[in-house]
Order: sequence, then C-alpha cells, then structure tokens
Amino acid sequence: MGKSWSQSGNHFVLHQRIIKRNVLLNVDKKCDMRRRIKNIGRKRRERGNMLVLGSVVLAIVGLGLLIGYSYGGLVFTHNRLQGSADEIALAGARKLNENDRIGQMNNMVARARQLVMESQLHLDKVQSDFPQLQSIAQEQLDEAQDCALELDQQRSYLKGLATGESIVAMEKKFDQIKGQYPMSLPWLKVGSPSLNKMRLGFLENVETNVEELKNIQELEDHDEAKGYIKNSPGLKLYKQGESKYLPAPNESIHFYMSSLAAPVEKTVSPAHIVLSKAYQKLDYPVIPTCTQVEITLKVGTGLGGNANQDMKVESAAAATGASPPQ
Amino acid sequence: MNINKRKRILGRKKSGSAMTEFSGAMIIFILFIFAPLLNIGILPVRYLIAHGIISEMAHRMAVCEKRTEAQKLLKNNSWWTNLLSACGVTVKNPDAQLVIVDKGNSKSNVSINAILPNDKLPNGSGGPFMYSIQLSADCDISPLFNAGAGLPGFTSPVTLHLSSQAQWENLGRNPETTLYYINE
Repeated sequence: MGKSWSQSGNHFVLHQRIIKRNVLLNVDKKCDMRRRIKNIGRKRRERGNMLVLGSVVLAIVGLGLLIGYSYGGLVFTHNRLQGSADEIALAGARKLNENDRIGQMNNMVARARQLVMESQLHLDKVQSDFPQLQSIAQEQLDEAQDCALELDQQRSYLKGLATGESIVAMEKKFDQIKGQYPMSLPWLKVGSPSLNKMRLGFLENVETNVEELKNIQELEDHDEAKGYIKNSPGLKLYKQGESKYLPAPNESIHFYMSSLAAPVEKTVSPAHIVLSKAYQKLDYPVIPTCTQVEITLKVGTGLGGNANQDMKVESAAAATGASPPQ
Repeated sequence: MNINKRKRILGRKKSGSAMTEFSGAMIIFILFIFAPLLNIGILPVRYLIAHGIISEMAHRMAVCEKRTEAQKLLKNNSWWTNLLSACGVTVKNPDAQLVIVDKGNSKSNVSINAILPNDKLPNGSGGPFMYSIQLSADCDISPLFNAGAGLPGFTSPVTLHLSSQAQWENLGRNPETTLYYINE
C-alpha cells in the first residue's frame, strides 16, 4: 500500500513535472511565436519603408522633370507668341501702303512742290519781262499753291485712313489668334494674350521713294543747300520726315513726304518683318510706314508659387514699298 | 546583466544593422537609379530650351535688313550662347547658311559670307526663290550632375547638332547701291 502510495506519489511528482514542463514549453512556444510575429512585422515594416521611400524619390524625380518640361513649354510658347506678333505686325504693315497709296501721295507732293516752284519762277520772269501777262502767271501760281494746300489736306486724310485701317487689320488678326492660346495643363498654364501696344512709325535708314526732280535748276540748288536730298551712288532720293519747304515767298506751304522703300529697277520691296529696334517713332505729321506691336501673355508652369509671369514679345514690320511711278 | 538590458542591446543592434543596410541601399539607389534617371530626364528639357533659343536667334538673323547685318548679329551677339550656357548647354561651331529653294523645290546651301550669283537672286533666271537663314551649332547638352567624363547623357554631356531655319524677310533692293539687300 505504502509502496503503492509511494509509487503513486512519485507518479504524482512526475506528472506534476511533466505538466510544469509542458506549461513552460507552451510559454516558450508562445514567446517564440510572439517573437516570430514581431520579427515578421519588423521585416514587413522595413520592406514597407523602402517602398515608401522609393515612391517618394520617384515622385520627386517626376515632379522635377515635370517642372523642367513646363519650362521647356515656356520656350515653345514664347516662339509661338513671337510668330503671332509677327503676323499681327505684318497684317498692319500690309494695309498701310495698300495699292501704293503712300508712294503715289509722296510723288504727288513732290510734283506739287515742283509746280509751285515753277509757277513762282514764271511769275518772277513775267513780272520783269512780260508785265502784261502777270495776272495769268499769278493765277497759275495761286492755283498751284491751292493745289499744294489741298494735297496737304488730302495727305492728312490719307494718314488717318491708313492708320485706322492698319489698326483695324492688326486688331482683326489679333482676334483670330488670341483664341488659340488659353490652355491649362497640370504643368503649363497659358492665359489669353493681350495686345498692349500698337505703334505706327517708320523704318530707320529708309528715305522717301521720290527721286530728286530735275529740270528746275533753282529747285535743285535749293534742295541741295537745304540738305533735302540723300546723296548716294544709287538713287538720289528725298529724305523722309521734315517738310521740304520752298524758298520765299512760298515757305509757309508744307510738303511732307513719308519714308517708303523706293522701287529699284522695277523691283518693289515686299512688306516684311524687321528687327523691332529698327522701328522709329514719327517726329513729323507724315503717313506711317512701319508697325510695331507688343503682346503679353500670362503663363505659368502650374507648379511652384512664383512660376507665373507675363511673357512679352515685340515685333515690327515694314509696309510694302512704292511701285515705279506711272 | 538583466533581461531588459540585454533586450535593449539586442534591439539597438538590430535597428543599427537595418540603418546600415538601408543607408547603403540608399546610396546605391541614389547613385545608380535616382541620379542617372534625373540626368537623362533633364536632357530633353535642355534640348527643348536649346532648340527654342537657336530658333529665336535664326529668326532675328532672318529679319535683318542686310545679310552683313545678320553676320554681325551672329558674330557680335553672345546673349544666346550665354543664355544657353546658363541652361547647361555649351555652343560650339555656330554656323549660318543661306538656304535657297527654287521653283522646282531643289535646295542649295550657300555660306552666309558668300555673294549670290545673278541667277540665284530674286529676279534670277531660276526664280522665284525662297530664301532662308539656317543657323546650326554643335551643342553639348550637360546632364544635371555632370561628372565631365563617362557615359554620355548619364555622367557626361551629349553632343547634338542642332539647327533651325527662318525665312529671309527682306527681298527688296537698296536704292543707295541698287543691290539686293540679301546680297549686301
């Protein structure tokens, strides 16, 4: 019995030990499991970190490239805007000397001037040599003077007409073009262009289309003395700008002639774009023969706070040159 | 050493090794993926800018009154090369030519300094002609991080021959000399 108790007691102890060991093993297993789970989590987090960082870096690279491309787009837009400005300036310039109206006006002014001078010389001659014909000579002179004054008025009218038509042509061209610009992309925002300035003037180093008129020596000497003629190996042309006044008593009549490319051996200069700096503003009340426009366009890269700006371009164009005189 | 202390040491070691591995990986990532990607990606941007500026210069030359003025503009104006230089593009051997296209669409190139023969002038026998100024240059387009040598595009500049054409505008004649402006 005692043995059996003792045996059963040992068995109990053994049983207790086994239970304890099993409990400990279970605890170890649980700890091990927890540790494993923890490690897996950590590994996952580490891999997740790389993925996030990689994505961030790629996003930064992508953003940088997008900004770069948007600036490339600005250059492209600038060239496009320059082309539009050229078109507008050229449309206005073509209108200025339509049907050679300025060239013909210049020729008429020069001939009216010659007529007044000749009539005055006739009157002077008649007064000394044939006094009985003085009234007729005076009448001729009055008529020539009236003609010159009337022509000056017509010239002013033509100036207004050519200027107005040129401006309308430029505005019309601008209206055709402006709708093509607005664009909103994530990396490039382009607004609507605005036509800031439309100026009318003349082209530097271009004199009038009128050659020095011969046959009246007194007039030639007077023009030479006053420096109205541009001396060059080629054509001797009247200088553009200031009034080509006649000697007394006709010094009060204005004879303005515009700057316009002269025909050379029947070659007429076509309307063309010129460097903007070659444009000159008018100092005298002459008909303009050159246009200059300034267009601004609101552009932004769409990225970055200070990336918005006004893009500005200028363009100038010269009118069609004069045709050979009829 | 108690368990907490041991655990702390073990923890430090683990995270430290991760940091070391991670920083190494980052360096490799930046050097071999990020930087080359950025370098190659910036090239088209610089190409676009270079092409735009060359086009602008060709346009300015084409609207000059005389051909000699266009030559002077190319010779004396360094704004475009300076601007391109600021954008990471080095301009070498800039050259301008006059391109003449006749009514049969055949094209001939003439040096900007050459005098046109009479049959190539606007009133010439083969006319009418279209004249254009063609500006070309060898452009070294640098990557963003330029090592100066190595693989072109990734670590060293790529050399591209860029050219742009603009139509010659002034087809008139100079009344002072009676010559065509295009031939002066």
